[in-house]
Amino acid sequence: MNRDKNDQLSDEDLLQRFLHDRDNKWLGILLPRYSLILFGVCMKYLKNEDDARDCVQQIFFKVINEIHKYNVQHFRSWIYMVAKNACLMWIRGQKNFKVEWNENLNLRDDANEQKQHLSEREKMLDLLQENISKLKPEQQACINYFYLQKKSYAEITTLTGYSLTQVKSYLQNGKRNLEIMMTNKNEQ
Amino acid sequence: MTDIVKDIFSNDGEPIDKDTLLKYLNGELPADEMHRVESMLLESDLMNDAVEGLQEVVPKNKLPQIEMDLESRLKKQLQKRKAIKARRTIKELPWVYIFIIIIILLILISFAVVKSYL
Repeated sequence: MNRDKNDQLSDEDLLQRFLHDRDNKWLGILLPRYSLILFGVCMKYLKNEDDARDCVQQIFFKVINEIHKYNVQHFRSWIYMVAKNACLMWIRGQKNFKVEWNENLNLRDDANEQKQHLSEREKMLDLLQENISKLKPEQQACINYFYLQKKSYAEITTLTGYSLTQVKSYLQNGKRNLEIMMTNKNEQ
Repeated sequence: MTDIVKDIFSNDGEPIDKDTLLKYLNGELPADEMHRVESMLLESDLMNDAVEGLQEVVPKNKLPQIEMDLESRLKKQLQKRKAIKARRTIKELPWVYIFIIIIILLILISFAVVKSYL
């Protein structure tokens, strides 16, 4: 199998192949997919480029040497947890961190994937309209601009006068509130 | 309205590829692409944290160099592990040979002893 073909493999396939034959070439394809992403996560928490680079290296070290000890079903959520753990330990000054793995974290990282499937979408249209109007005005405005009018964060900041952080927060909270409202209605 | 339901509760966002991510960070994407990326960011805590962190790197054109550096460090780490594994295998080998030689010697001695009594 050539390199290009291997590049098409999913994270989980690559991980399974590594666990099967312990050949580092699989990690050599899998881990570079995350180098920049992990650097970004480390930058967010450590606020220093050199520390972030070293912390990413530390994370890779842990993955290379310890991943076989864990029952990792969704690599993406696992490495995110490892990265946050590493940053926390780095901040505390303990650079030799321990991976704390909880089986519940075998869920996907994507916030949505951690929530239940909402199957009957058509039925939800009315509910959604009704619930959007129940959101706080700032959340309502951001949800409308973002999802209905397909505006970017930057455009919404210009249109509303909110800061970028506020826009992101109103969108995330608005989305979460909508999901809670819709889930509650669905369960009733 | 069906689209908004799909967008808000969608599970099937594709991952953001590196090129798109770098263009997003540099503000080089057209509005619709920018919106698409931001929709994905809202779906993934990992990507959201990553982008927030990467936005703190100035200037952004350093990012490909940083990525190359990280990948070169990773390559060294992987090679080092491979070398340790190989060394361990070589170190374990003499014991295998010694064991085989001892077994052969024991067989030969036993054969000689048995033959001398016959």
